[in-house]
Parts: sequence; C-alpha cells; structure tokens
Amino acid sequence: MAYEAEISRRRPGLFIFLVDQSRSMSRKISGGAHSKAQEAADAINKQLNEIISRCTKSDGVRPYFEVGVIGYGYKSGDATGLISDQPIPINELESHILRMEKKTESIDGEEIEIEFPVWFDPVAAFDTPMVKGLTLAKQWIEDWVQRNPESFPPVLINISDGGATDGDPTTIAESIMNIETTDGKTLIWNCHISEKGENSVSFPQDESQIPEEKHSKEMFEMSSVIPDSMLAIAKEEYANVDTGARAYVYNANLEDLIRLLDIGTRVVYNKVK
Amino acid sequence: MAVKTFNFSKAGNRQQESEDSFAFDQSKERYAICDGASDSIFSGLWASCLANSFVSDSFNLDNEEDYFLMLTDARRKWFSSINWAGLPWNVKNKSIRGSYCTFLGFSIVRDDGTYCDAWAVGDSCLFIFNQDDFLSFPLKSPDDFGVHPDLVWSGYGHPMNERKEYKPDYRVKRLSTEINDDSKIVIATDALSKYIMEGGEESLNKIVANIDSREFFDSMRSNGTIKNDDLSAIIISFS
Repeated sequence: MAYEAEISRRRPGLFIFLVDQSRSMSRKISGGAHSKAQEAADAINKQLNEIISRCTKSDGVRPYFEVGVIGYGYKSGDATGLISDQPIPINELESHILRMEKKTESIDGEEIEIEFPVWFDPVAAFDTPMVKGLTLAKQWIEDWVQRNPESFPPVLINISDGGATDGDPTTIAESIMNIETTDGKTLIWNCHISEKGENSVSFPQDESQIPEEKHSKEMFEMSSVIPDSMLAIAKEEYANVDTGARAYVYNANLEDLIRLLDIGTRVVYNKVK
Repeated sequence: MAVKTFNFSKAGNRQQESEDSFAFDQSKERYAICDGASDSIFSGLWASCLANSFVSDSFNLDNEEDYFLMLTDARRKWFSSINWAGLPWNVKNKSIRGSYCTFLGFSIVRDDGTYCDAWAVGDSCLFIFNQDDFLSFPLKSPDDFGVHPDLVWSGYGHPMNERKEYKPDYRVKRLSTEINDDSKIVIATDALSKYIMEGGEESLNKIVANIDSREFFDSMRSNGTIKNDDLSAIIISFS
C-alpha cells in the first residue's frame, strides 16, 4: 500500500469531515474563546476554504478533490450531510456557500480584510450518534471508491468530544479502514477535543500512551496508522511522531485541532500534480 | 542558426494550462525560459511577463540594479494584465500573495569569439553540448532537483501592492563561457532538464527527433521516464 497515487482531475482525492454535534460541544474548548462546536465548525470551514485555495487557478477551481461534511447529534440518534447529501467536487462547493463573512488576515504585518465563505454553522444539540455518522460516511466512501478505484485513498477526519452513544464505533470504523483503492486503504483521523486541555496525547503509537478510559481506547483503535510516506509532514508539527503512530490526538486543545486538520489535509495536497 | 521550441502542458491538463513560458529575440540573441510555480496563482502569466521582459531589453543581470529594473518591468506587465476588481473571492484571496516562477535567461555575446552569459534563479537549466561532453547550469546533477527550487516573486497583488513596496531578493546564479560554432544549446524547465542531465546527448537526440510529438512526451511521462510536469525547451543550433 503505497499512498503515492498522483491526484489529478481524472483521479481526484476525497476528504470527509465528521463533526460531533452533541450537547457537550457547547462547552468552551481549551485554548479557545468559543465553544467546541463553534471552533470545530470554524476549523472545518477554514479547511474547506484552504482546499479550494489549493485548487484555485486563474481560470477557476480545478476538481482535484471531492469533499463532504457529516454532522451527528443535531437531533437524537441521527446523522446527516451538512453541505450536501453526498460528497461533491470541490469546484461545486461555491454553489453551497451559506454566506460570506469578512475577516481580517495579517499578511506581512499588514491587516487585510478578506472575504471568507461559511458552508455550515455550529450545532450542539443532542447525543453522540457516532456510529450513525460513520455508517453514512461508509456509504459515501464505498460509492466514491467504486467510481474512483485507482485514486489516492479517501481521508476521513472525525472531530468529537466524547464517546459514541449509539454503540461501538470501532466495528464500523474498521470496515471503513478496509475500503481500499489500488493505492491504499481509507485513512481515518480522529481528534478528541477537550475543554480541559490537560494531558493531551498526540499521535500515540501504543494504547498504553493514552489514559485508561473506554472512549479514548475506542478512538485509538479506530484511528489509522499514519503511512510512512506521510510521517515527515506530521513530524513538522509534532517532533515525537514516529513509525506506527496513529492519526489521533486525545484531549486536543484548539491549537491541536487546527494542527491535526492541517496535517491530515496537507499530506494529501502534496499528491496533487 | 536554427531555433526550435516546444511547450507541452502536463498530462491531463489543457495546453493553455501550461505554466511554463519562454521568449526569444534572435536579432538580440536573447532567450529566456520560466516555469510558473503551481502553488501560486497567475504564475503562468508571471512566467510569460518575466521571460518577455528579459528578451525585450538588454538587462545585464550581473548588476543588481538591472535585475530589479527587469523585475519591475515584468511586474508592471503582470499587474496590468489582471482585472483585479473582477476576480471571484477565491481567486482574489489567493492572488494577494502574488505569483512565483523560476527564471533562466541566456544571451549570446559576439566579440573576438562567441561567448554566452546565463543567469538563473531556480531549477530551469541551460545545457551547452560540445563534441564530447556537455555543461549544465545552474544544476549539475539529477540529484540537485528538489521540491522547493528558488523562485522569482512578482510582488503582492491587489490590495497589498498599495501598502508594500516591491523589494525582490537578488539570488541570481551566473555563468559566462565560450561557445563553439558546433555547440548545441538547450534551455529547459526542470522535468526535461533532469531527463537531459540523466541521458546527455542521447536524451537530447530523442527530444530533437520528437520535438513536435506530444504523444512521445506523454508516453515518457506515463512510463515514468519523465515526471508528469509541463515540459518546455528552446533548442539552438549554430550549424
């Protein structure tokens, strides 16, 4: 399994973001000024914007990726696509923009006002039907792999602050990780965000590195081993990442969340030719 | 003297999407090739403006001031070619940071012999083939081709251009050498340069024999002989 396929219009990549919308996501994230739901939504909206930027040329956006966002817990026991009801090519995201917002960005010491799109708003409502969310993601991934059997494998990034309330997510996660293209198996990245921000564990190699707690072990098990070809990028942000590390951050603060999303997407951008 | 050129976009892209650009003026004996960086936007346009600025004047890039004048001229062309007010949000956001490309300029000087001057930023290369060997500049070995070559920056796009003065770095590599009447000169962007460096005259002969054949280059890209990249070159024969 190489994880070396070139990403092109003919062989696009796939990103799926899963976001927990449970009630506890309304609490403030460690290291941030807003709720976990708000920060997770901001981080994903920002990543979508970054993916578009990477694919933007003077003549428009090239469809090097398909993307989808799934929320789980917006109502009890349910999961749904937040932007579309299936993954869509990145150049079609434009027509799904909820609104444009003006933000200030610092470039070379100058504050510049820039317009950013927002595709979905934060929700912190009910329980944590992660199994339901993963089941929907599996359908999307199976369908996509059937259409793109030789592409770089799908990357699924799951952001949650707790354990599933609808059963054991490891079984469905394992079956997703076994969906493969000719270039490798689907990769699952997990970010367990926390309001405490204590004892965070980034990219553990071994279960013994994370606390003895049911949900933390579950999320470790359902995180892919980072392929060797991607380790260098993870090492740029976390020096301790080594062969065999899982794509998982436990007790992540806001900075960890942003870094995980950045690493998880950047390892794939590099395959665009 | 005969000049042959080609520019084939990478496999899977349309020809107009090539971000390589070259320009030459045989009467001035000035030639330039630039490779627009795919990470930036409007980089093909920037590559074209820069190559054209080099050949349209007599800048001596040994001189930092001349280099700055050339870049200022190219930047003016680049900036005025873009309809900044009409850009969609995503193009506008990306274009603020400007464009990047490699640069290789080559000039023939006739005095009591025939000489050439070459100036380079990045990994586009010059090759001078003589009877038994060849010289390459600025890179010497296929291992020298990395992921992040030096690049020439266009300066910021709108609205940063109004706030920051354009101050490019001077990181120009230089070569000056004698050339013979039977020399063959090639200037090429990186993927093709690496192929020439690996195979020497044999690679050059294959390129010359297939100069009009996109299929030939596509097959080399699909079998991995050359990486899938835009391919362009100027080939100059004196005989």
